[in-house]
Amino acid sequence: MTRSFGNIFRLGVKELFSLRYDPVMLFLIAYMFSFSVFEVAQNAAAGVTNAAVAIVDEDHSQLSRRIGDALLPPYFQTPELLAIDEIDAAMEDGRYTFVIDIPPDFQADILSGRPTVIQLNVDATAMSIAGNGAGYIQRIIAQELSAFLDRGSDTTQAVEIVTRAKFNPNLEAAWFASAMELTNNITLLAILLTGAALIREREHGTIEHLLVMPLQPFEIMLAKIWASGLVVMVAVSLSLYLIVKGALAVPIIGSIPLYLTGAVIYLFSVTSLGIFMATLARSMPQFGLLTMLVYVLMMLLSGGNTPLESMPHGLQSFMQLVPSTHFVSLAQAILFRDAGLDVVWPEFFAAALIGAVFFVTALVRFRKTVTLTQV
Amino acid sequence: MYAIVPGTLMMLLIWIPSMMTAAGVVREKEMGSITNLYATPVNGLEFLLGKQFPYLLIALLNFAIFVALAVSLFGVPIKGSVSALILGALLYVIATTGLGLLMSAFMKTQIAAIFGTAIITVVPAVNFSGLFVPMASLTEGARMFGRAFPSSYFQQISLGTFTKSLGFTELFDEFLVLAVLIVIYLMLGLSLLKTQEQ
Repeated sequence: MTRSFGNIFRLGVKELFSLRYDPVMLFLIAYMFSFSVFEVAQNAAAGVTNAAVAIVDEDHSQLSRRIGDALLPPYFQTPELLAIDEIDAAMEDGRYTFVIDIPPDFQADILSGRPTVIQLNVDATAMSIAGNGAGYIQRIIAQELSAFLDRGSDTTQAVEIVTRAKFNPNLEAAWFASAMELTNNITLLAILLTGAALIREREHGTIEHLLVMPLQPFEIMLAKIWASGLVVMVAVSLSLYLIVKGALAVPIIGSIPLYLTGAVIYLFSVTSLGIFMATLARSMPQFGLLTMLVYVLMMLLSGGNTPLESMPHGLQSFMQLVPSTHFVSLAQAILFRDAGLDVVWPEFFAAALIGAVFFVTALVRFRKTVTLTQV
Repeated sequence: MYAIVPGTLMMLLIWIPSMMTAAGVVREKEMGSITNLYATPVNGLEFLLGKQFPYLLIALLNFAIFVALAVSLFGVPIKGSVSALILGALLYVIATTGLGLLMSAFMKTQIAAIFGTAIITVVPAVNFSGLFVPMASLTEGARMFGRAFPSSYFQQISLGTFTKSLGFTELFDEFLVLAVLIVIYLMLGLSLLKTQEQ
């Protein structure tokens, strides 16, 4: 038993050494957990943020200027004026997401009670903001109109809805996006590091050297798991403290140690997945493509981008078998809703169980696939 | 659907071709078979284009399959010019495989090549190309970052030809920038390859 631990430890140290001599890889890991997390979080959009608006003002009245002045940051950029014949080209280029056309004699028509029309052009290919933004603009124009006509008091309704956004009062996308980007990075790096460590040994033939030594396959696998896991854990911890808490100033109300414990369990399951995938692929390019497929699926479908509840039922059940679904859910619960172990233990358990299944499957396939270097 | 299908085409045609090309060159480096090439009278340009060509063909095949699926299975019509879409895809794929070659000059190991192309292409394609958040709404730094990669231009071409019914004249600028990027990637790749031979 003690000898087994010793073997696992030394084999893991060997993995760390081979990483040390790959400076490009070290640079990429640093880049991914610092700059990349920062920029992605800064530019994440939940709802309407910084939308580009242009106004075609054919009226040049007090009212038309008032509508322009009412479109304010952070939702909208300061509207730019556009000539009427420039609308099509500007929309085709995607320079503006919204173009408002205020017709001639608009104010005069409003004042004399004649019906009139404002045209709002929306670039509906701008998925995240087109729908909500159009709603905002309609509401803003309606407000300005009623204020202009001094009918503000008439619009008071019997029931007033008071909105309180729980857990993220200003609905800041950067809070959420930084945690999700961190999750994506953990997944990608963990799968690639572990799986590639195995494939590389197979391609170079050194795995056979290991197997003729008095070592068990599970020791080789566990060594790769702890070494890659350690690298990812260091990167995640630094990124969480320096980038998420530091540079992005995201207030984390939950327990960071509990989150990191969750990350350790998650890492066990994704690194096992990495090894399992390495037993399926026969060469590094195959493994790279397989990783891309699995990673993109995990990134887009585990609840970080689209809430799980909005997906078809079959897909929801399938995603329960994917470890990242559980990690996304426990990360959100711990970091932003201050959930304790009593709430998130089922997620911890599920991630560990899935990891164990991958580990055992990979172990069974391990010896069989050692010689599969060529197709 | 009309917005995400053209966007998916943009994502797939940068991730897979650039990763495969990068891994293709670095694989020879890691295995040592690249010394065979150094020993033969092949010049840098011939080597790079020879490495690029097969992946280019595969990527174009992917493109054809994807478009067929988009139209038949997902029912997304190509409202604009089909030939503009094809030319755009051709330029885009030359650019993305060229980017893969350029990356391979920096990388020594296959894992770094796969990981590097993955993280360098995923973020500009998903976050900074106008797929979810329009380019016009990004911060200045992110917009510059997005513009340095071919994804943001092909996103316009793909969306333009599928959904906005555009043709060659409206998309001329995007074609031009893609062509310029191809030349830049190739030049950079060549200059880095030469220093290795020396």
